[in-house]
Amino acid sequence: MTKKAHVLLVGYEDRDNLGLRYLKSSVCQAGFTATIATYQSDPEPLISLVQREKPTVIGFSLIFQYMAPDFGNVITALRDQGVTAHIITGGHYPSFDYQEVLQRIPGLDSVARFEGEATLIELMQKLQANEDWRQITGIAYRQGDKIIANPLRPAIENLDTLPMPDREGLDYESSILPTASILGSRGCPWNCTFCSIRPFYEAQGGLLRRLRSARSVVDEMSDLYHNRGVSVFLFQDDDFMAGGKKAKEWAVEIANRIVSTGLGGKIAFKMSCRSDEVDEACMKQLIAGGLSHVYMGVESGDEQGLINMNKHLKPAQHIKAGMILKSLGLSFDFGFMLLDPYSTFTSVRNNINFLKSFVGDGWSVACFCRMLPYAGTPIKTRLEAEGRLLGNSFEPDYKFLDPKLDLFYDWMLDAFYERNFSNSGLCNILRSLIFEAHLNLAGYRKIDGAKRMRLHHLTAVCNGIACYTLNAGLEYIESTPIETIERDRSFLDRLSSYEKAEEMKLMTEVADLYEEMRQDEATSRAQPIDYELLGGFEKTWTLAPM
Amino acid sequence: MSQQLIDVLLRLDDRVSQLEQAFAGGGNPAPEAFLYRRPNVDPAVTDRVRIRQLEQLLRVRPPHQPGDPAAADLVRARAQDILGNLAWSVDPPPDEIRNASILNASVLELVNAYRRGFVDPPPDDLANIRLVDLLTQRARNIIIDPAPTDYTRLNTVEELESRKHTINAEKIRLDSLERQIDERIAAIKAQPVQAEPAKSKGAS
Repeated sequence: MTKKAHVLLVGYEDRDNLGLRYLKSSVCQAGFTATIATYQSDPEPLISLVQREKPTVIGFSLIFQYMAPDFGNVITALRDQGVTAHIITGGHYPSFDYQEVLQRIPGLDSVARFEGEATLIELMQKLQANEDWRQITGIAYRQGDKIIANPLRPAIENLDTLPMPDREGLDYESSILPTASILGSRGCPWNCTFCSIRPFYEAQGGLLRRLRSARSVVDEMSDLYHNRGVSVFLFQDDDFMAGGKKAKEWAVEIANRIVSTGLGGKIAFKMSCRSDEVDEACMKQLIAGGLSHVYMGVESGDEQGLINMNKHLKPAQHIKAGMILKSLGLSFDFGFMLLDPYSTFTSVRNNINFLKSFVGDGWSVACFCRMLPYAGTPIKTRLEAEGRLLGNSFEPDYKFLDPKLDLFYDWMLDAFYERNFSNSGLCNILRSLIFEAHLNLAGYRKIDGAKRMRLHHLTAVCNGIACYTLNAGLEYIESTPIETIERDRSFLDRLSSYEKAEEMKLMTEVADLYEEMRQDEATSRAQPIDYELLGGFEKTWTLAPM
Repeated sequence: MSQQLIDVLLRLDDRVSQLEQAFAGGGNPAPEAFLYRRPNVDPAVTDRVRIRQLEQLLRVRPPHQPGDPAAADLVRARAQDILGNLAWSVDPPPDEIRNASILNASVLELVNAYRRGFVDPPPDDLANIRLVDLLTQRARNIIIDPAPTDYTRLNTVEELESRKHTINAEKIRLDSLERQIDERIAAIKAQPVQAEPAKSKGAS
């Protein structure tokens, strides 16, 4: 009897990695075996695991483009240890940049391009039968000095044919606020210049957004609620509401089914959408089904910036969406690119002013970054055509049209790095606390109104200080000759110090508030809380069962 | 300029000494001591004067004598009241002080509590620790000392810039508080007015 082919899937699992989980359930349904290992830069634990399991295939899920060299090192270490398994990688980045990936990671055998379930199954069938795998569709590989890309396979037409993602090994049960990621659809019809989602799903043809049936989605939620204790669901759909009337009806059907299956009030969910998809009547229906948090792809508050991004939106639509969500008591957060390759001092100033109008009241945290030309995005193609694409394939870069904006960006990155991008920064912590402050879930104690107001006050101060600092830096750089700035950075250094000092003060106040919330919890619980086990949005800070 | 500053400091020191004497046994009671303060010159509200009052109250407490309630409870409650009130992050106007502001009332309560004699727990008790905590943790975020208006002693661009940043940070905080107060006013106004219960005809 032929031994069943076995695949070891490797990837990040800070949250449930649904990409890997769908792959695992698909290959298991096809009669193979699979295990999942969390990716680490240190190859030793993986080498031990490979020596123990002796997989036929090792599949790497490469999500972050800049991590490609690190993955390369791990794959090289595996080969150096004599690992002969077929090593394949998949994900957004290698799907687009398969040539670069195969050239720079010689230990790789192949790249699975775009949707990987059917490709991986076929690869395992070929390897188990000891047949040539080089003919299967959806794969790219090295042949001598050449890189061969086989034709792509069609996209999976009906997502309900996929098995539910395998969630073995995910410890929801011991979490105080068990939280799971879930996908209701794949794809997005919008064509924003900075995003590779549409090109990714468009490549294989078919509908730009494919929906699972509402019944299948709610069945999965119900199963997770009843059998795994999950009460918070994070929909990872790129745009939960994309697709006009049909998509809205689908979203509402999910909410209605949640209620009709008896989960109303027992679960909460978060979803992502565009600001022009925030419709009050529809949101109310979703709230009845447990919607508690919305992520909006705002991206810019400058009219020209939104045109450059091909968003087909006006800043006023963002403001209106924000007002609707606030009036409904929903927490939200949003993506925002303060700078893009075509930014001017005016557009940056407009963006700062927009942030003040949009979240100056502290309803949400103002977090900001700059646009990056990732693989597969229209902006990368455009910058390449304009001769402005810099950096390398793994870390693409560009310079702004106005060199003074390069100075501004460098300063901004230094001043706000901790606040905006670190796990222990104010943005991350406030975002988590706000998420919980608006969570309305049976069995969990609500944060009282006074504390919620204090939280929004602290967020308003955090946003206000950031906007003030940004404005002061922008004004200074715009009005000062480059040579002067390069010679004497004392003003900007002092401004950075001011921002950081204010963040420290705020952090103390946030810590005080958090401590009070914790004390409230302690008085309501007989057992002390093990805070290492908390779940929630990123990480639960306060909530515990009553 | 330097002579003016020295004069201000001397006057401030003088007032602090008066206050200390007052608590050490006689002299002006605390509210009167406050009347000596000039707005926009002295350090801001939770300033040295007030801190010293509170310190004095704690320092001179005779330990280990019977009494109820425990001194620490009263002191702590008052200190929390004082420091928890964000509205005091700017100086109250002098006439408000004359009208026996909440702050003065609180200090008077403290004085009265002391005069009744407190006791348990010992001097290095929780109250002291808690007070220091409150002053260092809470006050540092809401207090500007010296007062924002007192910028004349600043001479370098760096100092003035830094002061401007600090003032802006305070403005942002106050704007946020004002907005929250407006929201609460709007919410209260939006509540339906409760109709008075109808009087029964037979009522006298």
